[in-house]
Amino acid sequence: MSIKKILLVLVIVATVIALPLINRSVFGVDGKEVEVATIAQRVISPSILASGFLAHEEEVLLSSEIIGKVAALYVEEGDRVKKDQLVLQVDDKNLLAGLEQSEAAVRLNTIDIERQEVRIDNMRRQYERTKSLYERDMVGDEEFETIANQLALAEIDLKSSRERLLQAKAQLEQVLDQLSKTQIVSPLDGVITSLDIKVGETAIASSTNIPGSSLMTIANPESIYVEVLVDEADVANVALGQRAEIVAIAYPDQPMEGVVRYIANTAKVEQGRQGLTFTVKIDITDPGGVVLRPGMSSRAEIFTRQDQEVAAVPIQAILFEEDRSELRSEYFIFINDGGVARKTRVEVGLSDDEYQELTTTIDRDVEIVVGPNRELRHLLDGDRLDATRLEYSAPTSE
Amino acid sequence: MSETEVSGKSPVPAEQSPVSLAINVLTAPSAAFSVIKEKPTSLFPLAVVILSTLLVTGWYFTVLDFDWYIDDTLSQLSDRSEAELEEIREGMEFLSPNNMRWITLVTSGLSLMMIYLIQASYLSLTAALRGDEIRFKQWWALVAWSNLPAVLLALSMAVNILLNPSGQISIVDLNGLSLLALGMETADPSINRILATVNLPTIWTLVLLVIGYRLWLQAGLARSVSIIFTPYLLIYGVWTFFAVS
Repeated sequence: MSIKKILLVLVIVATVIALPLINRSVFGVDGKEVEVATIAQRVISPSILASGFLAHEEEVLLSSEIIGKVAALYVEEGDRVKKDQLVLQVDDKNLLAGLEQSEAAVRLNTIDIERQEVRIDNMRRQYERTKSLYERDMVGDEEFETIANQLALAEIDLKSSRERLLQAKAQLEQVLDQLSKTQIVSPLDGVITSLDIKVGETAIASSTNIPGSSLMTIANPESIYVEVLVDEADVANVALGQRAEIVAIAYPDQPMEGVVRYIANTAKVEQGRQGLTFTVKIDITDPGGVVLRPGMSSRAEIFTRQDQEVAAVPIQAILFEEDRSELRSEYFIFINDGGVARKTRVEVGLSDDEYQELTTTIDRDVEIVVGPNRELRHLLDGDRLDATRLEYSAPTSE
Repeated sequence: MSETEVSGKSPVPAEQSPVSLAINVLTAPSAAFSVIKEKPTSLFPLAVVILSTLLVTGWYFTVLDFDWYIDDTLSQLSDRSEAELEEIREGMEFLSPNNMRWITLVTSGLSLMMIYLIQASYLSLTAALRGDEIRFKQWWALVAWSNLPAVLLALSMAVNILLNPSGQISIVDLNGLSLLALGMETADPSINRILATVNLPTIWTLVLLVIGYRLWLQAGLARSVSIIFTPYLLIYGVWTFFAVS
């Protein structure tokens, strides 16, 4: 084999090795196409999310205190009612008969007392006359004692009759009270949100959840609010008066405005949840076009800090690295150093869905790589950049 | 070069070592093909090409940034919907880099053998139609030795792997000898995709096949070129037609 051939092969191999190097020097290395922006003052609104439902603050569940057939219903579901308005009548025929009986008993006892009083008056006069004769020895001891004894017995009978009258009056009161309970009235101004009984059905005096024990639900529509369950890890950030944005599941595109009114003191494990949660009530200040109905599933975003302007960058520009073995976690950004990516460690502050506060001081003219995410994910220190400046990231205010 | 000139009176070739034969295929193909026709061995070129290709491919998947690779692959599929892309991503993430490496190695090896088989069968068929009595084993040997420049492709890939230690390089960019990598980039991405598959070692292989075919069958240059290049021109012609239309 000639040396020439070997040299030729070596030249070919050397050319193949050199070609990529020449290619790089002639055409350069393609920079990664990234978007850059400068740091800007932005409003950061950190928030927490919680889910729950709409409920009425003023809501009563009416039930009957007596057992009886429903004689009349004066309302329908959805009707507005006033406080003390009659809404339902339980059949009172038996109670009316009892009323008559009790009233008659009172009257009979009254008459009996009157008769006894007349009789006692008469006996007192007889007693006085007999006493006068007895003092003058015109009647004997026996006759005088008999008259005195009869007067004392008559007075005891009168006392007894008066007690019977009181007893009859008490029975009358009892019947009147029972009778009053046949008329169910609304305890508040509101709307019938649920009507659970019909005319002819039997209202049952019971606290158990059996048919007939619940008559209707009346709620004040003005008192509707959102009740959400806030995770115990987040509750420390929630305070009364904080602004909230509420979205009812039925109206996903119509957020409502609200204000935190109540935070529960005690955490509970709610059904269907594993962790401890605190009940938080949010008043709806602006329902917008949403037709509020109690029970609607809702989601609330509670803004835990009032709107403030801070130095911030889009959240995707912040990269997080964690080394659990060294208990180290750090945040980084990439800055555009003359077309080369430079990995820079930063400290971060508040964040919302779009932006993160940078507490590390960064010059306002430094370009930070903010996207696209597919490039940012794989960007390395020293990578060449083909940067496009984003205009929207200009400061919103100075 | 005198070695590449075709002569009807070939001297009886002396037996050569596989390495000498390989160097001759690259530098003096006519003399080398005369030897190969008489003694059609194919183990050495097959082993060199397949092993070098598999080694470089295996190395590539060892240093590859797999997450970047998935994103880069998906970015090529701009015509797919988000749901389809997510489905493909889940499928790719299911494959670990190790599985991907083995799948690629196996398919690369099988693909090479399949291409050799098709080329040898095609040459055997065209020769048989002409009435020439050259055995399939000889055509297989010609194809195997003619594909020896593919080693240079593996070498180029290895250089590019070394130049990109981050592992963020696509298979397309790995090929430093493609017409696309050599600066023939156009404004049309479809054409660029075609240019990325045409590389210097492949052209060299076709030229070697023309020389071998012409030498073995004593055929004219035009006929040899047309026989060897026609399938490729057809494939790339149809591809280009659909790419530009």
